[in-house]
Amino acid sequence: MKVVVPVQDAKCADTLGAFIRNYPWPTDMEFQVAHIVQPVLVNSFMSLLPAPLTLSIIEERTREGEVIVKRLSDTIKEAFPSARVSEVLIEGDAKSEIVSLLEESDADLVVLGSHVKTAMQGSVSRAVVAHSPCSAMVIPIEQREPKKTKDKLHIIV
Amino acid sequence: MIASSGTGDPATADIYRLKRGTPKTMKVIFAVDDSKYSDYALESVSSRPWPTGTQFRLLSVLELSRQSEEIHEKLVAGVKQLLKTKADMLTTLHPGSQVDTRIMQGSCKEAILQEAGDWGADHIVVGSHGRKGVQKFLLGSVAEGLLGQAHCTVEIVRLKNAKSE
Repeated sequence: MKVVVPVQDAKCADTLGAFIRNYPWPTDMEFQVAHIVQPVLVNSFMSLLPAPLTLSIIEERTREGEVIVKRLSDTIKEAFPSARVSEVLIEGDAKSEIVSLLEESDADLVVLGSHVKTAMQGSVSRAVVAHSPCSAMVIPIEQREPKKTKDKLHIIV
Repeated sequence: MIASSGTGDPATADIYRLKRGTPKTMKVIFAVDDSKYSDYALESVSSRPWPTGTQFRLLSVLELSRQSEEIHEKLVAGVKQLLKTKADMLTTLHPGSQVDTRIMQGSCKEAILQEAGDWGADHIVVGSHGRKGVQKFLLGSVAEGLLGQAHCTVEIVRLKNAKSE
């Protein structure tokens, strides 16, 4: 079974790591930990920043991404010594890059974090789940309260 | 998992288990309807090596407003039968687990969220497009509603390459 795990930041890496450790995976596993490096969009739209300036920003983001990916892949390797774990860094738009990675790698499952407290309300996970060619698991990154409803629905049986 | 790592050495398996610790037993909700997506979801997820003591709950929701008594009885009986077959299948696959079933009345999304909250579920499994969602951007509306609101992890199971169908 091939699983792709896109990861955004350190907190995301820890939450996903904890979940993956606990889940009953089948025997033959292959994990691919991915991080998408967001390009500096200002430059592509309006050329406000000369290319050499944005280059260092991209480099910084790539370095950060490498650390995060390493962190998660180490957790997985420790928990499942027999699984194959690979790492990949891609530059581009998170949603489309994750979907095309899933298509290319012929994955069976994608394990995603959902960042609902951000302004975009988990838009990446939503978009990936909607367009992914395979199954998806969505893990809330921030602790959420179980839903409390005032008028309970009727339980028939 | 370690048994398949090539060596198959039981001693390594023990070390592995120690290292990983006993996995916490999970409470898993399966949202069930009579579509092939739901069948596939149950099939693929129940084939995983769930540890002994895992609690499964099969949940089915009647979305129609209450019909005449006779039709209602018939509907409930049908759903009960469906859940029973699936529960039996789960019990045979995982003899050490607890399986129960539940039928609720109301909106699917609300029912699943309410049940997950009240029962303290750790994991929700739904099939991608249940019967309502085909028009909705290839993702079932129920699944989409769960993503942003569930307090626990949500697994959306999709028939591989269902997109091209």
